[in-house]
Amino acid sequence: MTEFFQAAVRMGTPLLLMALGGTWTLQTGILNIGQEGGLILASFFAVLGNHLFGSWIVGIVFAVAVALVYNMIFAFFSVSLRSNIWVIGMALNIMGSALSILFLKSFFGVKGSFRSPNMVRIPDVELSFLPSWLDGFSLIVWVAVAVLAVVAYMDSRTVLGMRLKAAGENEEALDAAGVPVWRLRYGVLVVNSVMVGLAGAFLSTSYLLSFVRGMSADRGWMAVAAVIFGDGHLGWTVFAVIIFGVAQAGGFQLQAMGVPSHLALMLPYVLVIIALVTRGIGKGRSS
Amino acid sequence: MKNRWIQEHRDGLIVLGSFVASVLFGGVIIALYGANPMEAYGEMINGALGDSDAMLGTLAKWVPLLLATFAISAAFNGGMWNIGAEGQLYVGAFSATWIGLTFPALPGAVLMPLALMAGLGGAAFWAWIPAKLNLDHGLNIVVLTIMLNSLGTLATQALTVGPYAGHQVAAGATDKIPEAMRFAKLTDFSNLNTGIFIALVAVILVTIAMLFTIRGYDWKMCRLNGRFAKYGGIDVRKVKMSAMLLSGALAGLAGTLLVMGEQYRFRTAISPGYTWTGMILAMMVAYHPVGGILASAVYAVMESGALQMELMTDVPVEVVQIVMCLGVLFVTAGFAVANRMASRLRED
Repeated sequence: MTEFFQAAVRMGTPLLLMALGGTWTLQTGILNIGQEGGLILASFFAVLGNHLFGSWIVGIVFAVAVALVYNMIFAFFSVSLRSNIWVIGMALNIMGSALSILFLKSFFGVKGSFRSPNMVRIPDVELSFLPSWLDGFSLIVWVAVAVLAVVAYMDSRTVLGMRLKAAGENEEALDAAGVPVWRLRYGVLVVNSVMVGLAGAFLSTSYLLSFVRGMSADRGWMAVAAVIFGDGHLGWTVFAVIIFGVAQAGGFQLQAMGVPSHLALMLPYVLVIIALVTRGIGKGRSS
Repeated sequence: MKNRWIQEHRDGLIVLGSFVASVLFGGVIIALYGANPMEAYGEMINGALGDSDAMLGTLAKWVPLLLATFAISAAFNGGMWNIGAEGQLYVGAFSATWIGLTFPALPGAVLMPLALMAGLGGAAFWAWIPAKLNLDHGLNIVVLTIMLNSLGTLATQALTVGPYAGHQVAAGATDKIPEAMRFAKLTDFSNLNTGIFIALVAVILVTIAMLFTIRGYDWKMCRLNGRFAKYGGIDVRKVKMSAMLLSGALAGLAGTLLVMGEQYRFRTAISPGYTWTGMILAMMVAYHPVGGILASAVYAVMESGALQMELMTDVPVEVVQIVMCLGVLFVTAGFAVANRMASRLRED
């Protein structure tokens, strides 16, 4: 049971980080569709920085930097040019995946995966006063919990949180009130880049210490699904993240119990669909 | 006079200009690899069109890309966001294979249409699920299709390594389908087969439907302004559903032709992401069918020649996909700027 709980936390952490940033982007009216591509690029750059400098901190800096560049392209098109977020997001997602393979080939000369003895793992936090089932998580897990607390506070208690929602609901009114909406949207995407960077670094340099092509494995999309499930409400999004994290951990558990891996891997996707159907929302955002 | 010509062909000019810009940008990327861009592009064209074998090979590569581009165009042009064409392709390909493996004794005249129907029908069904949930219950179609993508590929893969695992092949493939349902290869050296004629007929029919029929006009209206279309008396739900089912069937046809004409069996990695490429191409030409034909042909040339380029100049093949993605961004930027300029002109 402890193992299962820890696996669920491990699966849920990158989803949580991206879903929190994604919720803000949805609230301001420009849901970040490009999280999948950002995640895979961040995973690669975390490995690159870590490998070059033998430091996990540099790895995280690299990951955040590349996610920032990536999100700013998305921001330029969606906020400044007011292009369709789905077109831009899909193009950037496909480009991110192609770029990660291109970089893998050109920096390391390999096609499938890369690992190096130079790399240093993001440390786990060992706190002896914690009960054993809470102990030994990666540092990023605790960062994610802290981010959740900050986002939840800002979301419900601060003027900024209200302005973000106003940007999505009535941008003319907010503009008239003297708050530049474009600046809020850019700001939200900057914050989102930090979270995508952390999530990517977590994937490739926390429990696993290598980059594998396609290692993001739809996690960016699950985060987007959680955001759409929550429809701007933080609580529902976190609830979805927990469900998806548990489903992913459950899939691996089933695999260990002898269920064919392809079938076991289907579990989180089935749950995403069931979750969306039961909540029955997301109307009108696809057009 | 001249101004008018530019206005009429505005969209085409933007697409063309963006394509040229992205090829130039690709040249910069190639130069970063220390290769001569002209030389690299030359190798690319040479590798794709250099001799008749190369050209036939390129033609064979074109077929799935063409169908994938049309699959995406058909849905997007009708205002439906079908991101799930890859899953539909897998489900369609497996359905066709299943017919072949289950009824091996049937004569070709029965087996072939049956397999085609199963392939197209299975894929259309896989497209119907998210379309139904979206149109009747308002669920987000992008997330649904993405999830059904993974479900479709995982389910067919589970069947292929499980109950339908081939006996004489490496893991991850079914046994070969009976001879009676195979499209004959047209040449010895490439995968080009008679299935291309079916693809071409499908593409011509869909092009006519999109450009010259009332249904095609309705699709476009639903994409451009759903509320207005409803006000104009169009049954938006029906029109959008038909766009989605057509999209699924085209993706299914791509998968079915891969099975019946190229692989002669289902493999767990039967598509290297054809529909994702199709999505880039469809978005780049703003879902216009003729544009889709041209763009997929250009892409087939680039991808077919890219291996030669990688061999000769060390520039990775992924450059091709990145160049096309840049094309989408340029097109989008072009349309945004043009619209802004147009509205400014109107204000003056």
